[in-house]
Amino acid sequence: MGPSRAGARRRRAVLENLRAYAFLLPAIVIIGVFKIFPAFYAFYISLFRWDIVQGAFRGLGNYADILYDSPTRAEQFWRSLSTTFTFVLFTIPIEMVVALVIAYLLFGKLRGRTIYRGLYYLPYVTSTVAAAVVFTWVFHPQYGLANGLLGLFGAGPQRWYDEPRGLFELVASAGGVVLPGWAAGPSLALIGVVIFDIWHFLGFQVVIFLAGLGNISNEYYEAARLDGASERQIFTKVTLPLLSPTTFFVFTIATIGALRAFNEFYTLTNGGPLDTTRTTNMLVFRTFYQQGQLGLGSAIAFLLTLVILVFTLSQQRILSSRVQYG
Amino acid sequence: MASVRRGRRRATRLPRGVLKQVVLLSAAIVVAYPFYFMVSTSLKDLFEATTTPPTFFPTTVHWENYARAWEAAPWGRYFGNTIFVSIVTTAGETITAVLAAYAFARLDFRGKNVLFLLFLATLMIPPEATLIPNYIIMSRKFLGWYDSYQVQIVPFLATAFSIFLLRQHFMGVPSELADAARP
Repeated sequence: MGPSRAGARRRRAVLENLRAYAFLLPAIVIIGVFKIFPAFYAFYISLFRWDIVQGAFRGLGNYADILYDSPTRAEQFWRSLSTTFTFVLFTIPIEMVVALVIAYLLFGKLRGRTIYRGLYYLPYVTSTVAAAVVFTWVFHPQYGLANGLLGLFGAGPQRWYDEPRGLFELVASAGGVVLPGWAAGPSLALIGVVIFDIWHFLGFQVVIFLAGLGNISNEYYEAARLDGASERQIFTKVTLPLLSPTTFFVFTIATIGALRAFNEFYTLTNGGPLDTTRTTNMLVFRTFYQQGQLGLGSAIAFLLTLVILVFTLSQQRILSSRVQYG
Repeated sequence: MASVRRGRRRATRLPRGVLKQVVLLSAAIVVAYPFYFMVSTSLKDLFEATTTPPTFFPTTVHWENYARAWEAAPWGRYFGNTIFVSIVTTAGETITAVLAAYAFARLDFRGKNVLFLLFLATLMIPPEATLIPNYIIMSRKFLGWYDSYQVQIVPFLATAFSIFLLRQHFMGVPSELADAARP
């Protein structure tokens, strides 16, 4: 290979580099300025006392306050974290099971399939805020349909999004039983947000599950039928295992989404009643926006990021070995 | 033997189909009810909208609600804002993503893997964590973009998600196709 040819090759490589970075420049600028730089900046802010204006350097002092040092701050933070996880625990399993059942029923030949798909997807494409306003009417303490339905079953009207008392406590007291405080369960207001979230995100999960079901080759079903498997056996032994990559994807995305939920809380309860729906994200919002404490707010936001990161990574770790790829 | 089995299956098929429809229909009613509620309430007067239990159909249809709502706020401006921001953001995001995804999928350059990983990492940062810094970046100290269109558009003109999605797609297109198209 002559020197001139090597030179030409080098020139081509330089040109390709230039071209690549020219293509990437817009994305690098936008993501760099509004995503990567702010992430580092958030950590920087969290190291200071920063009440509207920058104050004294505190090192990890803000983190210490939130985690254990300041009794009120620590109490708020740990309580918000527990509220957040309670929310996830009540939302995700129900949502996923319902979505899977609906997707399974919708899959294959069925009259009105397109209409059903459209109907189930409708809530997902509605703005969270607009839909939440409708929910405040459906669950209105005086005029709401939810209380009307409860009345049909002989149950008394509830205060729903204004009700700080726990779900189990309310059910038990309707039966004349008084539960100890630790068994009260999540507040009815939080359950109301759970119902909203299931309703709102169901259609998204149905569509993803339908795509996953479509990816399972028909040969597996035919082989199972040939061996005389029953419908139930086909579902548990063929569909569920082969669907596991999709299930895993939905589980991860939905959990991250629920851990970060904001709009529905802001519109439906704004953290109340009695802070029973004050999730960590709502706590960040109050600390930063309403109390103007940017340093503390950033530190809580950073801790929430860490929690989500650890949770997502451990999900991958624990579950990915159980996922079967076709 | 085969005909016996087929016969039995046909006999069980009808009730199964009916059951399916019942389950799907009742779920659909629950899901769609809030929408129906929104539409029917929008046509009631205040008295009827607040009676318990709520009426299913409006007794008298009040179309004038819409005329009054339209006059209550500058909705033309609001809808205009929404449409403008959506169109510009979607167009911009598509352009930046196509360009960047092409570079990641087809070109060779220094720092390709590092940059790609950095982009992917931004997917894991929740927006709430960068809320405060972005608020400061938009302030008069830096960009001075409070109360502007830019603030709703520019930060969303490129996302790692769309770049990642398009890159995966581009990598699935055989490069022989592009080679064949060249003279």
